[in-house]
Amino acid sequence: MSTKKTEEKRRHTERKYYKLDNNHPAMEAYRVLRTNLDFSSADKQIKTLLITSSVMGEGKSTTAANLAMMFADAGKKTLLVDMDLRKPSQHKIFQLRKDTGISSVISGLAKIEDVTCKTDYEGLYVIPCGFRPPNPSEMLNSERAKDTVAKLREMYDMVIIDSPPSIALTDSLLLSNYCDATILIVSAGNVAFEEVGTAISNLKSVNANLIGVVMNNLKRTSNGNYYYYYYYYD
Amino acid sequence: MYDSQNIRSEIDSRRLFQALREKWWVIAAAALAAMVIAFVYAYFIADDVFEATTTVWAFRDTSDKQSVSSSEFNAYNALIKDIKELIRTDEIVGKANDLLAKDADYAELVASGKSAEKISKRKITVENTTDTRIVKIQVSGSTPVFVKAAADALATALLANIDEYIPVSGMKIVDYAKLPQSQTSPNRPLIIMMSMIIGLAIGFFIVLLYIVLDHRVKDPESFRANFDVPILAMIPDFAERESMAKSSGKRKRRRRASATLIDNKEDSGK
Repeated sequence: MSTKKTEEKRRHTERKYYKLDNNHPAMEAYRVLRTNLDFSSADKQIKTLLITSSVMGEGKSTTAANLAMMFADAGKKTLLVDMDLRKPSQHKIFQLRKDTGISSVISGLAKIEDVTCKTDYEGLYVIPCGFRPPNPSEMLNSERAKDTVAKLREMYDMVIIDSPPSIALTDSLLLSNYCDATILIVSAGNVAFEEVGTAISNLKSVNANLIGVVMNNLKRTSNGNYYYYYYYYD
Repeated sequence: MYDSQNIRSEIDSRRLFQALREKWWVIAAAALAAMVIAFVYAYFIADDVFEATTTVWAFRDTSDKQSVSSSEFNAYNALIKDIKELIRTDEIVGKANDLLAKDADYAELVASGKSAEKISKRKITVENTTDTRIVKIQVSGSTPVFVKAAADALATALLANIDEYIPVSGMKIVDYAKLPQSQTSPNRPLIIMMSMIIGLAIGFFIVLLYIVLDHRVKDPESFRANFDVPILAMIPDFAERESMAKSSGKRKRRRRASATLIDNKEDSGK
């Protein structure tokens, strides 16, 4: 009985992240995001990308996972790091172990190679969160955290970092300083202008390279269409 | 740039229509609630009110001239006004009540215990069609038999006693009151229809209030209006797409076809 339930839950998770029809509008949107990221940096190539949001539940982890898959699809050696040390979720999405991960690397308990997981997706590697430290902010504020991100940048073509929401927690603000670029997920209908405004000004106050936002969970427009990417170019 | 004190979220028609499409049930619920309240009021709380009218004719002959002078005209008006007031006096109402008690139909009703209504001032309405000598005495009450008997009793009491107070040359009852076939109030269909309209208006107002007070980022346009950060991508709602595909096979096929088209375009571009 419980096995069946677990199986159902697993399949549901799978469908959400893996089994989307390739022609699905969401997939198309992630492809657009990838393309826009490729072109949004003229002088400095973006190799480390931080994904954050204003509040919880806006779809950071989903976007990070799907975007990482898109980069892997494009032939880039891609790494997805779960640096949401408070409420990690990538190990659930990719069904990885949760005992060791990036927290072990930052605290010096493990090497990067030991915690990197290969996925079914070609070219996509994931480092889960690992054990949850009691002091995430201090841990991320350390030199070793900065060095770890710099090392990962050298090792991969693209490093995507999943992080906690940026309004109440400093984690993502700290991380944004280690990364080439930051994108903010804005979930349509779930977050107030005030919250997004606070998140943006927080990121700007720490000089994060906020290159743009991703609007998530967009409902169909009143005439029944989704917002497609061409919308962006007008 | 973003200004927390001045969030630009004007109510444009597109936003309004979208909110109406999403929150139509609020309007429907408000209309339904108003109609239920109106139904309960109209059928279970509001008492039936019946009306009956007796028509009398009165005139005062002041001369034998054919033409009517202005003083005579004023005299008519005074007469009608006098009758209007006289009919409401305790004297006439008391006498009408005495007559009413003698009315066979009404006595039967009282005997059966269904009614014990008496004529009172506030149940009487006296109307006069302008420039005529016709006076309509209307009585309202809770049973048809009472109002009919009361209107006739009032007219009869007036006719019998008017000479004591006002000099009139002639007075007649033109039409005796008819037994009313249906109540004049409450007008149940009207009450329910009005309540529906009021309910719809209240629901609409609630939706409008919701739009004004809703500060959530809903669409790319409102985001662009408030922030100068570019939008890199717009990701549609996964769940919405799936539930929609389930609900309508036709739509599903159409969307799948269009999605394939976009994909092909991209492939051919590579």
